[in-house]
Formats: sequence, structure tokens, C-alpha cells
Amino acid sequence: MRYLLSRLAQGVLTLFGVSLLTFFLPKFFQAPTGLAVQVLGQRATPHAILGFLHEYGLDRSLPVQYWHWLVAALHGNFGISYQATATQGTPVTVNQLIGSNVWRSIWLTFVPTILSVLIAIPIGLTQAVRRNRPYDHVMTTVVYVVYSTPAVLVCLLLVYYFAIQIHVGTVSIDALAVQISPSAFPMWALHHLRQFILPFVGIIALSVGGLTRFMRGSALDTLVQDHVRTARAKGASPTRVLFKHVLRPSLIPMLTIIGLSIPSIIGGALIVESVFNYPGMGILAVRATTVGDFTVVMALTIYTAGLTVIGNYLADIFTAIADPRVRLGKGRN
Amino acid sequence: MEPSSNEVVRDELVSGVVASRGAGTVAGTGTMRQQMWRVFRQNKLALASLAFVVILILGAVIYPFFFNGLYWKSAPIDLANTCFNSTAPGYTGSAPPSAHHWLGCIKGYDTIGLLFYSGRFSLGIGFLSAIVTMSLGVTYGMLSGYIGGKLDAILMRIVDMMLSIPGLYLLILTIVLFGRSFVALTVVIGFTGWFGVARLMRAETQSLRERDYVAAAITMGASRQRIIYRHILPNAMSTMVTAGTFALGDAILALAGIGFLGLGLQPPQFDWGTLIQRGSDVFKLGYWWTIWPIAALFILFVLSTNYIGDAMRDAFEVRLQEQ
Amino acid sequence: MTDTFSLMNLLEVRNLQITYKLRTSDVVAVDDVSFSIAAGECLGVVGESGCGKTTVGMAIMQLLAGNGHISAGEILLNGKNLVGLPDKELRKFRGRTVALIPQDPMTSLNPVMRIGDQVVEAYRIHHRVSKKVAAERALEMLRMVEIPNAEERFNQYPFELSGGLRQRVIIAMALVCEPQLLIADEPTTALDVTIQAQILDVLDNLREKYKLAVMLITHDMGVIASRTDRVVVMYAGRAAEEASTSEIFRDMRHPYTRALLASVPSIEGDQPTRLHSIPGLPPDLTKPIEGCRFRARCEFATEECRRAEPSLTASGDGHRFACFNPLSIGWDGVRESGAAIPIRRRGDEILVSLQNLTKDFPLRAKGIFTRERRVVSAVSDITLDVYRGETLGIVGESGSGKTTVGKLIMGLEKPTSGSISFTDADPSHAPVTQLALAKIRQMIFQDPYASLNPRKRIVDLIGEPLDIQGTLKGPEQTRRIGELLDEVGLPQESLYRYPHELSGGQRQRVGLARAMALQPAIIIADEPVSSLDVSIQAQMLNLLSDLRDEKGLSYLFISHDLAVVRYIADRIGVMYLGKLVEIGPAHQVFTQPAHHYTRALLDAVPVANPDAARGRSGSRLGGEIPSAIDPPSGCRFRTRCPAATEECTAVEPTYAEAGDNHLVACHHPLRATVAIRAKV
Repeated sequence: MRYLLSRLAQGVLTLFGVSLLTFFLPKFFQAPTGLAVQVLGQRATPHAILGFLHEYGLDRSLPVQYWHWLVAALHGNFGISYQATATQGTPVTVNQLIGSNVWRSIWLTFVPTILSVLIAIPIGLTQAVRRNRPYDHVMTTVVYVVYSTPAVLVCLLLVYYFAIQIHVGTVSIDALAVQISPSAFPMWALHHLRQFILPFVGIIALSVGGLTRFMRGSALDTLVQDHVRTARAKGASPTRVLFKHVLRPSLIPMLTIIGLSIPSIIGGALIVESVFNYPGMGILAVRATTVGDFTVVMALTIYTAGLTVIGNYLADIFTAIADPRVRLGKGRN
Repeated sequence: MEPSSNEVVRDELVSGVVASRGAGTVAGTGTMRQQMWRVFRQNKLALASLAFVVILILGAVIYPFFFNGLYWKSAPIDLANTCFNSTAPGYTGSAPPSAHHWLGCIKGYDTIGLLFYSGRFSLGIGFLSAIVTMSLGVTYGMLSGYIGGKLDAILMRIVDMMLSIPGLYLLILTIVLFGRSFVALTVVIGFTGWFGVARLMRAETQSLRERDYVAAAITMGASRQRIIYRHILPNAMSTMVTAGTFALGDAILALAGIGFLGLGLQPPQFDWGTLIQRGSDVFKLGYWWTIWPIAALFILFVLSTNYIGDAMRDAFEVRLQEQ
Repeated sequence: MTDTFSLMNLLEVRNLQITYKLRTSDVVAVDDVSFSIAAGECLGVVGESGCGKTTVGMAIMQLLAGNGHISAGEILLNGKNLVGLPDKELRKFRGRTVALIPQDPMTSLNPVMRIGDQVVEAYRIHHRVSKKVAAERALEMLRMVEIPNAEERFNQYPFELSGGLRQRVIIAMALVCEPQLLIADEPTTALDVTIQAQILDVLDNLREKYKLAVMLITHDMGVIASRTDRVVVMYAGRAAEEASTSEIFRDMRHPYTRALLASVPSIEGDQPTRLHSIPGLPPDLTKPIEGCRFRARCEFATEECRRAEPSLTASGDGHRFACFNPLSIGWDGVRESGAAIPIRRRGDEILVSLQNLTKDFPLRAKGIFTRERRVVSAVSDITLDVYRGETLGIVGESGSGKTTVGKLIMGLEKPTSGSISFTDADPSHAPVTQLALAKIRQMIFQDPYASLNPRKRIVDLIGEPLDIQGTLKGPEQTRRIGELLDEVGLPQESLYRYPHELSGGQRQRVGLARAMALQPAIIIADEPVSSLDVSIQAQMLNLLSDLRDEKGLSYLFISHDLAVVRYIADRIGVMYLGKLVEIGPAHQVFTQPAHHYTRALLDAVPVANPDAARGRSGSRLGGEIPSAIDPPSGCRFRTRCPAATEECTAVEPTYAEAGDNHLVACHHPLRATVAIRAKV
């Protein structure tokens, strides 16, 4: 329990650090008056600018601004998007802009990540068992290739050879997706599963390589351990040895890795989103970044970091369940 | 693609692989370099990979000078050829491989020329930013691992924090702030990619620090610098080599990712990612030769660096193996 | 050998040859080995590392590593040949007819499975019974191997158990199906000597109870002498000699057997005799061997030995040996052949002085919510002096704090309280730095693989202390390194080699040369021979004592091996749970121990003498060393002490004199004590 509490504290600390970074980094590059000009236009009077700065608290010192931002953010309010406000003429909040993109991204990444893990475990395990045999060499090369192919290429090839040539999956996601509420989205997605086939495959392709390699390494480490020989000496069958004595110890380090690979999966999903025109966080992040809409970028970064922290924490919980050494207080670090 | 594509996954992986290495061939005699080369040479795949990477680098440096006209119109101008004859029926500027253009043409340019030309930027930024990544990561990780204590705890919390932000997000954010020139991209990719390396090197340093030979050096009165430079750094080489090859691959993949998103180099400079983006729209029309050459190049390159890294790690490890 | 003979035997191994495939070559690790085990018999297989003894054991289990296979021969179990049987058939034997006790109990249990379940699994693989029935059977087995609180332990995980308890669990698991044959591969090597004695007793009892045949693989002649009926001596993949245990100690025929016994130090007798060390190294099995494989190291080798490889020939009573020029010598003859080592008088000049030395390691707080500050009391209030020119041996089991004492003296750990002072240190340069002290004290380490930087050549390794001190440079330095190589008996060619090109013993010599480079007054040797095979160990011990006599060096010799300490030390300190419980002249401590712990340690050491070993009383130290986090109050040994009283719980004993320069910290010492002094 103590282990989980300290991990939780670490997670909170991480999020706090991320918020500091995302808050202060853009501030060094963008003066508040610049923001005001961006929103009010080049012809804004000094008076109007001062009014704007005061309205949004931009005339106060940075630590104070950060404090106000933090308190609001803890209530789920990430302020206004200056860029959108400028183009639309009325204040647009970050939350309005982000809408349910976060939920759609979670849906897009969660399912294929689970699938990736389910694919990686048996492949890695069987590779380890047949170490240095043709099967292992072939799979190692396949895994290498999958690992080293940019996600863009995978997606393009999928689109052409599947969606266009043999009509499996679609070239892009239905534009309607934006209008579906987060709660209704999974059902909607289930009904339109065909559209999701290729994006899912794309995300699997970008995560499965690393996971398989890790699983192979982890299983190899377990296979050479003495307790596996002990199990064989008992007369246990190969299947029994594999499932009872190799699989579980090899899965424990896998859990941590799955947690840790969340940021790279979310990052990779950005490419998949932009190829399939999927209204998720990634597309929003690129658009917001390129136009310098930093409040949106900050919110998105916090969200992704939050997802990572939650993912890592889940991994810690599962590790504690799977590994008595962690659960019973002989923590591994 | 993703800048730190599964970065964490394989950092853990690297240490796992290094740790789980068993005894293999025995090197025999000769100087350290001879022994290492002998081991490296045994790996034919790595030798082929090395040849491929050398050709690619040479091509990137030399190829554009060989041809007349605009330096990136690398093929001899042949107006009758479908690549350049914009009045020919059905002209798209793209053509399948032919005797003149072995890998075909994309938008009026010979593909081989394009690959080599863009290789200058992809490889240049890739290698330079990998160097930045490695120097930052190794220094930071060693410091954290060797000194330990409170400093280590603080430094590692910072790394945890940076690793919880998707690398690609960090990258596009910093690109917007710092610009898109060759130098800016090198620095930005280098500076956003070292966290995993730092974590790996810290673990390695921590384990090496506890070795008896370090204790022996301490009892002789060796200074901290001496211990780091003579005892820890040389023994961390195999880990560093592996991390370095991954850093190179990751940098090039990251560059491709931002190139595809339109955040990469600006014309007339362009990299492999831009090339993919250029080819992607006509590819969907069935022009397979606009994507396949670049895809093949990409995969071969990253595979090659991995194989070279593996063989180099074996070469470094061989001296540790017992007879 | 006739078939009727084989019918009598439970296990019959015939002309076994095992080959390992390496990347570049094949190695015949075991060649033409034949032996048999009768039901209920205990066969010892003894030899140095690499002789193939473990490989034979694994071949019987048919659990050879992936690159090894049986290339010739037969393994008959109850008359059925196991070689070439499909795995499905073999599984019926494993665990049921033949069971295995592996070497390292720390890694041989599944870390994420409860120990009870692991025993249950072993039973249910071969018996179709419900979990409940199997659990009862498993519990019965756990009690049988004398695990305290078996019901409670049943649901624990391996990491919650000590090494000794884990080995008991493994024994329970191996015997749960009542096999006919048990293969015990160095079952106690990883354990402390008192625990080793407990485990071997458990095995003996169960062997009697179940009429179990045991193949006991070990490197320890003491274990062979006290526990086995018959013994096979293996050398470089072949059997050198085979005989009943009493016969082999009475009349050994093979020169290797003699050499092996002559190189083991003993705790018996009043005075140690000089060890006979076998020169050279075992042959490289990747290269072809001409003639007898022991020839190169054998003092009796003749031309005949070069021409042909001797085969195992019988000489009545089932005594077989493979030698053209057999000896005939008994154990007493072997021991008398070595010159007695005179008892050395210790000098009067104090070299190093430890005053009330204490070291507590704080337990690492886990996370920010932990506020308790608990400590491991590794070394507690130790006061002793090391005199110039003497060798002080420190013995104790793991967890006794002996290694920490060494590290404290070396400055690798900082004392929590107390002080260490060196007479030779220049007091005008306070505080004294590592750099300055390096000229006074040096260290040699246990693991010859870990103590040399693998990326440095021998010349750089030995030259490093000279470089750091900046005393000798260039050709002068090289000359000095050459001298050092000569002193430690390494050829000059090794100068430009890397550590991985040397054997373990050679590396240990490099470590010694490095320690001597600065001509220190004292060398701290932490288990310097524990990782070496007995023949190499003897070489190293003789080298250490020769250098000491030549240079007037002092050693602080730390070891768990009482016989080794006995051999080299002038004075001996016995540590238990961070405390120095007894210290005195070596011969006195060994022949007339004053502390109950010292006595128990001596009783637990297996003696390489079948008569003495069997005749020794069975007074065994029970239980295990308690945790150093909350050590017992009063006398720390009281929880295991046969003479403990209430006084021992309440009052910590002070040192009392039990003889000339012989101190003991005990309320009820085994010898009459004279005066009580504060200082050692």
C-alpha cells in the first residue's frame, strides 16, 4: 500500500512539473502585449490593450498568473484560446475548442494498445522459446521492420492497398465523428467499425514492435532462470512450464513497459489522426501549435501527461497485484 | 514518425539485452581494436548494413555534383522522357522506373537524386542531433547515477516529467518556438530526445559504480574524474553504442514525422519526411513508385543502423566474455 | 559388466559422453563416464569446476542446457534406457522416480508462486488428486523437512524465506512424490556452514526414511567424507577414480585424488601443515588432449602417460582408477607429507587500531510517507588491534558484519561511530586522505571477475596505483610491474593481456600484484580464495603466506571458511551478528574455543576424514541468524545458544580473558576465564 501511495505522490509531482513547464516555456517567447495584439488586431489602442491585459490577468506577475491558472485548471478550466478568440471575435474557451477530442483520442489509442499487447505477448514468448531458430529470426526481422517503418508510411500503404484496392477499411474517418458525444462515441464507433480498422492497425503497427521485442527479452531472461529448470525437474510439461513458470514472471516487467510506452503511442497517434483525418487531440495539437495557440497546447500537454501518469499508475497497481515482492512491501526499487 | 517512438520500451530493452547476454565466442589475441573488428566482421548482416549506410552517406555528399542543370534535377535532361516532357500526353511529372531513371521520377525529378539530396538533410540532422542527444543524455545520466542521493532524485523526477509528455508534442511545440532551420531542427530534436538515454545511462552508471574494480580504484585514492573516465565510461560503451544507434534512428524518424506534418525543413531544403508527403497524394492514385523507394530506403536505413549497433555491441562485449 | 549386475542397480550410467556445441567448436564435456547407484545408496561425485560433475547430473535428469546433448552412452534407470526417450516419457520419471535439488536455493523457486503451491504442483503433476489432498501431503512434507510454522509458511512466497528455509522447501518439493533417486547438485554450497549441517542432516534422515538413493555432487571433500557411501572423483570430463568412501580415504590410487585431498586445508590437528598445490590449470576441453588428461599437472607422469589415455580399471572391491602409475596412500599419509607450519609469534607494534567501531546502515525509506528511521546494525562496537606482520583472520557467517569491517578499514564505508587509526599515517596531514592511506593499506577482493576492469590490460591494472600516486613513471614503472608479476608468479607475457584472457586464479594474482604495487603495510583480503577451486585455492594460499613471510606483510583475512582461516591466520576473530564474540591465537581458538558460537561453527564444518566425520557428536546449532534490524537484546547469540540464561537476555557480555591474548564475550564461556578487561 505504501508503495502505491508513494507512486501516486510521484505521479502528482510529475503533473505539477509538466504544468510548470507548459505554463512558463511559451511565456518566454510570447509577450502579453503580443497576445493582446493577436486578439485585438494591429490597430488596437493602448487603452484597449491594457483593458485586455487586465481582463485576463495578464498584467500580473508570472507566479500569480500561474497560481490563477493552476487553480482554474484544477477545476477543469484552461482559460480562453486567444487565437480562436481573435478569429471569431468573441471569447472562445479552450474547453470549447478541445471539446471531446480527448475522449476520441483515448478511444483511438486504448483499443489498439490492448490489441498490441495481446499480439506481442504470444509472439515474444514463442520467439523466446524457439530462440535462434528460423521462426525467431523471421519474427525478429519482421518486428525490426515494423519497428523501423515510420507510422506515416504504414498508414499510407494501408490506405492504398486496403482501403482503395480491396475496400477493407476506409480512407478516412467520417466527418460526422466530431458531432458524436463522448458517451455515445463507443457505440457509434462500434457501428462504424469499418472506418476504424485501418487507424487501429496503424497504431498497433507503431507499438507492437517494441512490445514484442521487450516481451522476447523478458521471457528469455525468465527462461534461463533456475526456477524454470526446477519446474521441469518436477516433471512439468512444456505447456505447464510456459504458462505457470515463465509467463507470469515475464509479464511483470511488461506491465511497467506498457505504462511507460503510453506517451509514445499518443505521440504516434498524432500521425495516424492526421492521415485519416480523425478529430482527436493530435490534429488539434498540430493546428494549435502551428498558429501559436499556446493555451490550447498547454491544456493538451497536461491531458496527455495526465493520461501517462494514470497509465503508469495502473501499471504499478497491476504490478503490485502480480508481484508479491512489490505487494508485500519489499519494493523493487 | 513519432520522435521517441517507443523510446522507453527499448531503453528498458537495451539494458535487458545487454544484461542477458551470455558467453559467446572467445576473441583470441590481438589488440583491442583487432579483436573487436574480428567479432564485428563475423556478422555478415552488419557488414552489408555498414556498406549500405556508407553508400548512402557518400551518395548524399557527392551525388548532386555529378549532374548538370539544377543540382537537384539530378538526371540528365531528356525532354522526350515522360519525366520532363510536360507537353506529353498524361504528364504528371511522375514515372515508373525506367532505364534512364532506375527508381522512376517524382514531380519531374529523378527519384534517386531526390533520395540522395534529401538524404543530406535527413542524415545530417539525424547524425548531428543524435550526437546532441547522446552527449546530453550520457552526461546527465552519469551525473545522476554517480552522485546519487538527493540530486539523483531531483534529476530523475525531471526526466520522468519530460518522458510523460509525448515526444512529438514536445517537438512541435519547440519547433514553433525555435524555428525550422537546419540548425534549429538539429538542436530541437537533439534536446527533446535525450531523456530516455539519461535514464538508461543512470541505471548503467549505478550498476557500474558498485563494481569491485571501482572500489579498488577508490582505495587507491583515484579521483572522481579518473573513476568516471577510466572505469565507468569505457565499461558503459556497449550500452552507449546501442543507445546511440537507437538515437540516430529515432532522430530520423522524428524528422520524417514533422516533415510529413509540414513542420520540417523549408524548400529548397527538404528531407525524407517531406518526400513522403509530396509522394503521398499521387500515391493514392496508384503511382506506387512515389512511395516505395522512399519506404524501402527508410526501412533499410533504420534496419541497418540497428544491425550495426547489434554487431558493435557484440564487439564491445566480447572482451567481457569468459573463456 | 553383466546384465544381472545392472539389475541390482537403480541407476546405471554406461560410457556416457556429453557434447556441448559452442559457436565455433564442439566441447566434449563428459567422456566415457560409467558408474552405478544401488537403491538406497549415496554416491558422491566430486571434482573441481568444469570437470563435468553437474553435467552428468543434468544428463540423468535429461535437463541439459540447450546446446548440450548426449553424444554416446546409456543411462539406465531401473533397467530402462533414458537416452533418446521422448520428452513425454521422460516427464514420467522426472520428479517421480528421479528428483533434483539444485545448487542455489535463492533462484530455484518460482518467485511469484506461494511455496505451498509449488510443492502441491510437484505432487499433482504425478498424482491425480484434489488440491486439498495434495495440500495436506505438501504440508506433511514441509513439516518433514523441519520448516518451523509450516502452516504459516505454506502461504508465503520464496522471498519471505531465508536461503536455508528455501532449500528445505526445495527438498520437500523433490521428495513429495517419494522418488527412488535424488540428484543433489551442490545442495549446500550457497549456504552458511551451520545451515549446511542442518540441511545435510535433514537429507540424511529422509534418505534413511525413504530408502532413497542419492547422487551427491559436490566439490567439498568434507561433505563427501561425512555423507557418502561411495565416491567418484572426476577430472576434466572423465572419472579418475571410484571407490567406497572409506576405501578412497584409506587407499587412494589416482594422483589427482591425492592432490585434491592434499590441497584442502583442514581444521583437524594441532597445527596446520603446508598445502600441496597442484601446479597449472585443468586442460582446455575445446582442444584435443593427448594421453592422460592429468599428465601435465602430474608429478608421476611418464612417457606412457603421453602415449595413451588410461582407462578405468578395477582392482577388487569395486575400486577403480584410471592411471598407469597408481599410488597407494592413505589420508594420514597425505597429511603428513606436508611440512608443519610453525606457530608464529606476533609482533608488538600495533599497525591498525579499531576503537569501538560501529556501523549502522539506515534502511532505505520507501517513499515520502515513511518517517520511521530503522537501521541495520552491521558492525557493533568492535575494538581490536592488528599488529605489524601478523595475519588476523576474521570468521563468521553471512550477515556477521565481517565484510563491513573490511570496508570500514578500507575507507569504503564511513563508520557511524568509533575510530580507525593507522600507526603509519602521518598525523601532520590530518585529515588523512585515501590517497595517502593507499600506501599503507590495500585490498584484494573475492570475485576475480568483478575486481579487475575488463577493459584494461594487466600492465595498466597493476600500474594504476602507481599512476595515481605518481611515484613511478615510464620504464621504471614497467620494470616495477614486471617485478610484481614475478612475485605473484605470473608470466611476463601476461603484461599486455586483458583480464578475460586469464583464468580465475591468475586474475586473483593480478589483484594481489595490484595491491602490492605500493608496498602497503597491510592487505585486507575479503574472501580472496572463496571463488577458486581447491587446487587453485591452495596455490593462492601458499603464495599469500610466502609473500607475507618474505615482505613482513600484515593481512586482515576475512573468510567464512574456517579451515582456510586456520591455515593462514596467526590470530582469529569470530564475528556474530555485528559483534566480535571471540578473539585469540589461532591454535587456541580452534583447539579450545571459549565461545559457544565458535564451538558450534567448528562442529558444523565437514571434516575430510570419514572416521573423524562419522564419530563427531551431533550437536547442531539450531535456527538461523536473526535479523540485524532488531538484534536480540543482551548477548546477540543467545537465541541460538545452548547455554543461554536470563542473564544473557538482560546483560550484554563484556570481554573476559580465556587464555593468553584470548578474549571471549560470553557469560558462560566454555573455558575458564581470568580477568575482565575493557580493551582487547
